[in-house]
Amino acid sequence: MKGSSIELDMVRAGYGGEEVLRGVSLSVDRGRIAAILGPSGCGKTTLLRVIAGLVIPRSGRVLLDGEDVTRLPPEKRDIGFVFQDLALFPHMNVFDNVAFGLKVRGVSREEIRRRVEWALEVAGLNPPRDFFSKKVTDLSGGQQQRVALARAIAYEPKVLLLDEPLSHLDLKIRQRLLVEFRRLQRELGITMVYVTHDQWEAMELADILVIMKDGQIVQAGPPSEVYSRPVNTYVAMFFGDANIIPVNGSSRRRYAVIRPEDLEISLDPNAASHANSFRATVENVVFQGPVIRVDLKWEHGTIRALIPRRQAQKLPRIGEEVTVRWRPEDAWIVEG
Amino acid sequence: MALARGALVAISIPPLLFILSFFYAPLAYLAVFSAGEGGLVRPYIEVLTKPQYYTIIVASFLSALAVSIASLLISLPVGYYIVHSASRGEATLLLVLFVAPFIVDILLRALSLKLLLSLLSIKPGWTATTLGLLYGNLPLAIIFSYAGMRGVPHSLIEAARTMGASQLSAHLWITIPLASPWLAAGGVIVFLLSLTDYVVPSLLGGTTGFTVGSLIYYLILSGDRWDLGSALTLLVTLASSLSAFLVFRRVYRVLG
Repeated sequence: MKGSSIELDMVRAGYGGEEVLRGVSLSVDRGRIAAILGPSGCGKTTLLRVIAGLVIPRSGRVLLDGEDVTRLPPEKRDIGFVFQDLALFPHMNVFDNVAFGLKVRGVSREEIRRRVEWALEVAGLNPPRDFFSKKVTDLSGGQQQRVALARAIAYEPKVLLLDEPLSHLDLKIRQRLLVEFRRLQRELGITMVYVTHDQWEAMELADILVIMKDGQIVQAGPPSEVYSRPVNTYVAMFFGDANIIPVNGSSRRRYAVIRPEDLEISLDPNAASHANSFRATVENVVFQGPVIRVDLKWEHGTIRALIPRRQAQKLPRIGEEVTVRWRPEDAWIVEG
Repeated sequence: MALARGALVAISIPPLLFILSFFYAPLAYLAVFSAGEGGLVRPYIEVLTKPQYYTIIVASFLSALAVSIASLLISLPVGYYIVHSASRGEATLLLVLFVAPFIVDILLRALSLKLLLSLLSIKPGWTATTLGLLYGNLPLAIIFSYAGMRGVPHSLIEAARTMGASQLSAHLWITIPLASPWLAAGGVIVFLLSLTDYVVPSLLGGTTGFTVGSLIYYLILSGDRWDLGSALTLLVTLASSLSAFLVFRRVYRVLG
């Protein structure tokens, strides 16, 4: 199976008088995973529905493998869609749910049986045959999730679209399914667009991370790039934790973005003479497993530092005045 | 909090008494009536074997079947439109408009339909009666279709379409099966109402448009054959209970 490339060109879309997507352009190469990250109401689900053909854009174009599909109905796009509420057919058993896309394609009975079994196995339901005649309403949340996934891949679509598919599951199952999504994409070469509001899910999956806000894409790129070089303070704070420090002596409003793990805390009073440093008071110290979080207060507000656990001996106490330092290359300057 | 067993029995007694005294007692009374001079079984055999009776029963059965199927077919797009295309305000208005005729007495509606049909030069008879029954029961079918389709989440249709089903086949595979308990209930009720109606055939029936209801009416009030009328009533009650049972059981088995 080969995935198709996805391209959105200045797409505007909405419902009634409300414009939800305000000029979105995005391109995803074949076989890659794009994770769309943004707060609720930012338009990320609508973006997915536009790719699927469930929402027709008011203007702009949608291209799959370079072909303009803007006005093509969903059934002609060769896509798989995993809905947030799963949308399993309650009157069909597991087999018929997974077989649906194959039946409407007129696939032969033996082939349907083979593909259903394959899809359930790929989705991690083992042994697949045990699930054939089960009612979907009798399955656990994780199993329903897997059936929804199997149903969307059984006919080997070129594009798999997932709308917050893990939001109702607990952490353990989520982590397992995330690994399986990755494996799926690797083994099937399918192009995936994954909508989430969870940045850890996004990091786990994404080749390209897309940050959305108010119906527009604010930044798109590899997660490491978005993390280390956010285009503005919104992206810096939305994707990962960030300290935003105003830069002095500039005519425009500029800020230094410093990740908490890049800050260093020194108890040495002489350390304050460094250029990239200031004095702050320790407000809170929280043990977080691999790291210790230190909340500090300084003249421009609060700031957060993460100290590796192995340096725990050198930790300050609450109320203590310390010097906070960073390397100049760890401060990323943004405007606004 | 669950009610105490005593309280439960106490509140169940009035409805139980009501249905016993106003439904089952007259029914038993009818059974006694039917078993008059001709013995216990003879009226049943007579009403089912004499051509002047069974031709009416068969014609009425076919008419009721046609009415229930046609009313469901007509009501499906109406229900679909109200559920999927209309805004909330429109939906309410449409429901009221479609259901309002149901509140007007069937006698008046049948009379006005008689005028209309005579303008179309459709003479009183089986066809006119069937059209009248269809017209009279359509609002009911619409309510059931609407209720059935309303309960089918739109995301299921969307899911079917992303998997490659056209809009039509998505509805055939998803909407119709999921709405089927409501459609079946509507169909059964329209069928039974059409079978037992006697106002429409008395106005539009002419000489061929009888229903089982009008036959019973004739047997008991004009023909003075209480035994046959009672026997037929019991047969209809039994057959309709059985058909309702079979339809609902089948539908709920499908839905699990």
